Amino acid sequence: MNWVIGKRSSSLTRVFLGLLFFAVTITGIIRRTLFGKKLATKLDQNATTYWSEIPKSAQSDGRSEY
Amino acid sequence: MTYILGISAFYHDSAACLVRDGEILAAAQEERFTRKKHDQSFPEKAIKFCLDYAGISISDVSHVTFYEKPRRKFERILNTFLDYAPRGWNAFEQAIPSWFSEKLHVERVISEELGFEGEVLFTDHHLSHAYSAFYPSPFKEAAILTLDGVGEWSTTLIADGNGARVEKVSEIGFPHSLGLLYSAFTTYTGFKVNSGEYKMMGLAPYGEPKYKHLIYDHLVDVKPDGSFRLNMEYFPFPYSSVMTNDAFHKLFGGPPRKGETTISQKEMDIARSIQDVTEEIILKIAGHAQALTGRKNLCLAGGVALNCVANGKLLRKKIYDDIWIQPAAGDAGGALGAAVGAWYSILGNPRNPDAVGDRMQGAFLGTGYSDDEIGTFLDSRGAPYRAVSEEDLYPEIANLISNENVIGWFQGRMEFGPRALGARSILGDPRSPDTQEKMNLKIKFRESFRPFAPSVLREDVAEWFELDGDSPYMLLVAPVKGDKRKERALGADSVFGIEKLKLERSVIPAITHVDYSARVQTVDKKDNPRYHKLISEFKRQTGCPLVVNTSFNVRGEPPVNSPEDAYICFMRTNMDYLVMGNIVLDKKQQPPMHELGDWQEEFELD
Repeated sequence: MNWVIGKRSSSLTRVFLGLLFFAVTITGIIRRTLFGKKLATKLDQNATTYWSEIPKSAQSDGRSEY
Repeated sequence: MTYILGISAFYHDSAACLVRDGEILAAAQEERFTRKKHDQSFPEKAIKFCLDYAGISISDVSHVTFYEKPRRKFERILNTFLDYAPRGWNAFEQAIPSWFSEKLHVERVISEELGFEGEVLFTDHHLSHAYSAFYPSPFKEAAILTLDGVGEWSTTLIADGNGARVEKVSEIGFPHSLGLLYSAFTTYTGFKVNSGEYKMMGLAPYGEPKYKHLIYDHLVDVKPDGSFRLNMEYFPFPYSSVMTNDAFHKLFGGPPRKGETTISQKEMDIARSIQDVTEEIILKIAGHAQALTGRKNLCLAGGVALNCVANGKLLRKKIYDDIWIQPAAGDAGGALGAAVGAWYSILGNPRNPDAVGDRMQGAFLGTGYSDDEIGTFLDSRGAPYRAVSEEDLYPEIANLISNENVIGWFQGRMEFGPRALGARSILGDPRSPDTQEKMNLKIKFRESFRPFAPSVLREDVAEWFELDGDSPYMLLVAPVKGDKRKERALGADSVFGIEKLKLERSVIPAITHVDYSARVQTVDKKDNPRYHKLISEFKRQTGCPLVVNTSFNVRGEPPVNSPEDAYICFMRTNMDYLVMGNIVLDKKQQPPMHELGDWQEEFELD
C-alpha cells in the first residue's frame, strides 16, 4: 500500500478510505445538526476581540499530552 | 551531561537540533543533506550529523523532543473534516494515510529509526516556536509572539517569557490564520506556498495598495487589539489543497496567475495590498502583546516572522525597546525550540541570559569542513585550486569582488535557517548596476524582479541604512540612507512595473529595492570574523562597507552543504571564483563538467 502523502493510494486503500470518509460524512452531518460546527467560522462584528485567553491551568508541560 | 535531541518532521523543513546542558551544539535541516528543498521526511541525516558533531551515540541522549503534539493536531484535522464533509474527499484521501502510517506513531518512528529507548517528549507547536524565540534570546524577560499557518489548533500565540518560564497568554485558533491568509494570496499571485511568500513580499514594493479595502471589507475582520477572523466564504483551505475559491477570484477580478507566466501590475498591487494588511495586523498584535505582558522586549518566531519588511516596521514603530527574531523562524526552528524548551521549561533548569548577546552562535550550527577535507575532495575531482595564506586571502577576494566578479563563499559551519549569512553565500559588488541582473539571471536562474540583500559591517550600518542596531540574521528591512540615494533616477517617470528595478536608485544599486529599502544583515567581528575581515578589506579598497550576499544555490535547490555541493553549483553557474576556507578556485582554470541530461531539471522550481 502506498501511504505517502500527496500520492494516489492503491485501490484497496482507496476503498478503505472511501468507507472511512463516508462514516466521517454521516457523523459530521449528525454532529452539525445536533451541535453546530466545531470550528468557529462566523465573523462577529459586535465582538470586541477574537483572542482566546489561556488560563494558567491549561499550560502544557510537554509530558501529559501526546 | 544531559543531551536533548529536538526533532521537527513530516510537514515541511524537517530538522534536528542537539542541546547539551542547555547549550545549542548543532542544528541542521534535512534538505541540506538530501538536496530536496523543504524536505519533510524524518530527519535521519540531520540527526546523524548532530550526534557525530557531538561525538556521541543515541544512547547518550537523555530525551528526544518532538516539536508538536500529533494527536492534538489529528484531532483538529478530524474535526475539520467532520465540519465540512462531504466536501474534502481529495484532501482526506491524500492526508489520512500518512497519519495512520507514521504521524500518529511518532514515538514508534523515533524508536525504530534511531533505536532510542529513553523518554520522548512532545511540546506544543507554537510553544516550540516560542521557546526557540525566547530561550536563545539575550532577554531575561520578554513578550513572545508566534505567528504561522497552523500548529495543532493555534495559528497565533502571545506568550510571556520570564527567566526560564514561558507561559501562554492568548491565542487565535484555526482556521483564522495570518500565515494562511498570506499563503492564499501567494498562490493567487502565482507563487508556491512555503517558498513563494518571500517572493510576494519582494514583489509588493512594485505595487500600490489598491486592493486593501477589498481585503478588509470582505476577507478579514480585524479588531483594534489585532485579533482577527477570516471570512471562510472565500477560503476552501480547511477541506482542500486549494487556498482560494471562485468567490475569491470573482472578488479580485479573475483566476489566479499561472506559475511562470508574466507578472502584471495587478499581481504587484495585490502583493502590496496584502503586505500592508499583514503589517497593520502584526503591529496591532504586537501592541496588544505589550499591553498584556507589560514587557519591554519582544521575541518573534513562526513562519510569518520571516516577513522582514513587517519586522523592520515593527522595530521602527518602537512599541518595544528591542526585538529578537529566531533566525530559523519557520518549522525547522521548531526542532531547536523543542530541544531548548525541554531543558528549561520541562526539566526546569535555570536560565541566565547575559542581556548582551544571544545563544545562537551566529546561527552557524551546521556542518563544517577543514581545508584538508576540502583539498582532498578537490584532488579527487581533479579540480585545479590554490591554497592562499590567511594574510593574502582577504585582499585578493575583496579585489576580485570590486572588479565585479561573483564569488562563491564557503566558510566554516553552515547556517541554520533559511538565510545565507556568510557561510554558504554568493557574494558580489553592490556598487555595480549590473550585479543584480547578472546574479539573478546567470547565477541564481531566478525571477528578475527579486532584490538582493547586503551584508554590512555592524559598525557602519547606521551610516548606510536607517537602522542603528543588530540585524545579524537578515530579518529586518530598512531604508537606504538619504545621502546614498539617487532620488531622481534617469527615466524614472516613464518606467513601470519590474523595469523599475533596473533604475539606479542609489550608490549601491544591486541591493536597493524600488522603494529604497534593503534587507540588511549586520556582520559582527565576534560572530563572523572571516566574513567581517573580507568586508573590512572591501571597505578599505573601495570605501564601501558592504557586499551583496545571496544564498549559495540555484533556484529550487537547497543551499549547498558540502564542498561537493558547492563545487557542483559553482561549475553549473556563471560564478567566477569559488573560495572554500583558504582555497581559491578560478572558473577559467576548471575542466568542463560533463553531466547526463539537463541539470536544471534536477530541482523543481520553487
